[in-house]
Amino acid sequence: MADVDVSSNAQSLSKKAAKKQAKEAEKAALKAEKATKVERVAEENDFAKESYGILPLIQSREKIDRTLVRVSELAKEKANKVVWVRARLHTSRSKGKQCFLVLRQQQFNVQGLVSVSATISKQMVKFVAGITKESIVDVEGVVQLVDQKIKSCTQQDVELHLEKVFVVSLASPCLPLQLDDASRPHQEIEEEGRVTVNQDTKLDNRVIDIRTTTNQAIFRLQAGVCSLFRNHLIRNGFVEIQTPKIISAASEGGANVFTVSYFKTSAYLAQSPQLYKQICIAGDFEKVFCVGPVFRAEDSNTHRHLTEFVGLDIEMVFNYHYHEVVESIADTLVQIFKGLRDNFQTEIETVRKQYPAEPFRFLEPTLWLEFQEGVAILRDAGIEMGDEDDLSTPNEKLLGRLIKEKYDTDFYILDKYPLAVRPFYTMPDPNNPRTSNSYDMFMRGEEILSGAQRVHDPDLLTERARHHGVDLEKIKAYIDSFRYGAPPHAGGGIGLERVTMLYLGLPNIRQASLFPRDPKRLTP
Amino acid sequence: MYKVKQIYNENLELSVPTCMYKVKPACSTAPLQTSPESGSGTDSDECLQALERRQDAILERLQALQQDVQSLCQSVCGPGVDEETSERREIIHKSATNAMEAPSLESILGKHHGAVWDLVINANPASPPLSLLVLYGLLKKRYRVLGNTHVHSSVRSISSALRSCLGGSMGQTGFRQEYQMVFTLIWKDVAHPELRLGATVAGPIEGEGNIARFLFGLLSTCSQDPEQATIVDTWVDRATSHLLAGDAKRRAAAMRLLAEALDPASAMTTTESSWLVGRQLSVADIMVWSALVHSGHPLPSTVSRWVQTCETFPEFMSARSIFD
Repeated sequence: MADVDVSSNAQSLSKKAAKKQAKEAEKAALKAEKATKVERVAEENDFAKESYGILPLIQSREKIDRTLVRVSELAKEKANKVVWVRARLHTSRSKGKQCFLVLRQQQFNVQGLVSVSATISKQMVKFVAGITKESIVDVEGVVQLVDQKIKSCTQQDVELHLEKVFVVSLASPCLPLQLDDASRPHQEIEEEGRVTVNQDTKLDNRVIDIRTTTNQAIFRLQAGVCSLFRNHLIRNGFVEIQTPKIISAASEGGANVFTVSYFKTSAYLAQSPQLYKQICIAGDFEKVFCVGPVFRAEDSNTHRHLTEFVGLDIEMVFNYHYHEVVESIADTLVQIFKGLRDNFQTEIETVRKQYPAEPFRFLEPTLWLEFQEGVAILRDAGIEMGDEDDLSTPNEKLLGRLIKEKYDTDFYILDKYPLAVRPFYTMPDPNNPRTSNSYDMFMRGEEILSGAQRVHDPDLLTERARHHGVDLEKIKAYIDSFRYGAPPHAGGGIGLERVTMLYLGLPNIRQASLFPRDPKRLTP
Repeated sequence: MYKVKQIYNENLELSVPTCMYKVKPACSTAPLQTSPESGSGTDSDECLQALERRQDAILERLQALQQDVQSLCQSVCGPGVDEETSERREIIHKSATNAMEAPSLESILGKHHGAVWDLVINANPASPPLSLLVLYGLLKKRYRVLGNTHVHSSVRSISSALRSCLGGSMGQTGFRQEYQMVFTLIWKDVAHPELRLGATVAGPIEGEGNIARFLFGLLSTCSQDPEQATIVDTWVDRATSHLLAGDAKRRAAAMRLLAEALDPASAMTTTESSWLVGRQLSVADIMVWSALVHSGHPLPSTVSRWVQTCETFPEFMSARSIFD
């Protein structure tokens, strides 16, 4: 049927159809002419051609002697000065002959303005308005004071009147997520029904997500935690050690350990640097700490578990009582909190804008309660539990709330846990066989540190291992390390991500890890 | 849809003629059983009945126990007395006979399940509550009290004297259970000193005067008659509102009253003691002394003499040394 139609159409091309075709051809020709005319006009009148454009790839072709000013330094003092700035194009908005843009550099942003003038052509304004978001640009402009403070930028007193705009690195036009959406506070999303970005999308496109001011603040604070930890311990005579992560036997217990193929056999990824810290202690280093990754193959998809995290571990000898070690560890943590409180207030405020939370409160010296007292406080509140039961997560959270209510502190220590719920290398309490010399520290009702005095006698260690049903063959090397004179020692370890998350009150630990690993996520 | 009023009554008594034969109702008015088989229907009935029987048995046992307890009560406390009221009577009886022994901590602070009682006091280091430090010293004489000082994160810096004012240091746990009471002083950025008893108690006790009254109540019974008790209360209020927080006029008026009260020659002093009210140290003395030291204004001679007499006592001396 179709064939017949086509042939009939070709033959019976009526006059009307022919006229229509001719008209359309004319229109197209006119359009093409106009376009070329406009282009020619554009090229002819573009007097600002040298002031904008896409730079060729910077392959270190030449050394340009030019000072680039940081956006954070653009303030009243630089008024009327001409500066070069390299920043990201955050947003742009064109209105006829003007184009407003926001230039962003890490946590700081400033408003920029391009308007048609004697030196700036229409084509330049059009070009600037068309630069894709997140592109890196080199701009030269004059710093101008503004009458009204620009509330939406960090640099509120000035704006940059641009003379030259060059693109250093052009961003692809369709971004997987918009930065403004990713840094929107939850309340705003609910109230105004705006778009939000799924956590999975954020984590899949981490390279863009970590550009938000909130994330810049979170990870700078995390770096601060690490450096405060290190500096405080080094000041107190600790030595930093590096421990191996590929080990031959599971250190804490066989279940939650990753296996790797190791040439012709298999090996495990370390669950904690426990064994090696203790060997260093028995090797006369006295006070050691180590910062390194820890791998736990726990198949729990909760808001506070990762399969790989950074562990900050401490181990030290003591003279006569393990409380000397607990005081030292608590003091380290309090100094970290103080350092964050005193030096990272801007970062804390930035994070609080997107994730509102109460500021972190603590006491100095740290509140130190016994496990029995914690149980009694819970019983007073109506929870029923046995004397030797471990604290379940909801009970821990409730205890944290009750203690916060009474003492107004988010950080406290619980000492003297029952022996039955601690691992085999925990030293039992000589005065009470049902308790042990072990302690836990809590932040905002969640456990961040589990520590104890370690058994440093090989015979007692063997007996405790047998009692817990641990295979003695597997830990033979561990027990042997105490046979050649081992001092009494104790220690504990914290997770960097968990401490950051709980200090800032973030809802999920994945927000405190740059590239989180959990049972469902292996990339980026 | 519209409703139709019931035409007939459900509860009509039908007189069934006896010459007819009965048929069991094909559909029951009881709620439908979940399982379709008829056999399981009878099973669940039986389960229900067994449950009911067990419940009845338990209730009976409870009743029997209650009867036993009641009879024991009656034999111990006398006829027609309920358990709770008898306890209350004992306490009133005690205080009425002017016994000098301290009330049991349990009756004031509430039951505990093995935890030690912890009195948490939040105070501002800018104006340390000296009366509470004096009371801590007095409490230590009466009970085994552990004192702990903490600095809250809202306070950036604090003098070392205030930091160690109760003498407690870290590492004194393990021994918390050996004390009857723990006195925890937290230096914090608060407007008024407050005392927290526990999460189950309603709210904090605010104000230095109120906390002082409470702590003094732990030391001795209210052995004063109502008149003396009111005079003590008036002085405590005067100390906080007039001497500490009042303007110059009020302060002057209160100072005049104080001078008269302490003047051995005036008509206001009824006894020959050196205390403000009655023959013994009362919470009024402590509060007034604390307010005078705080305000630091020049004092009339009688008052300054009285302040010096107070400071001969060790508790007042140690509190004064912390302030200076």
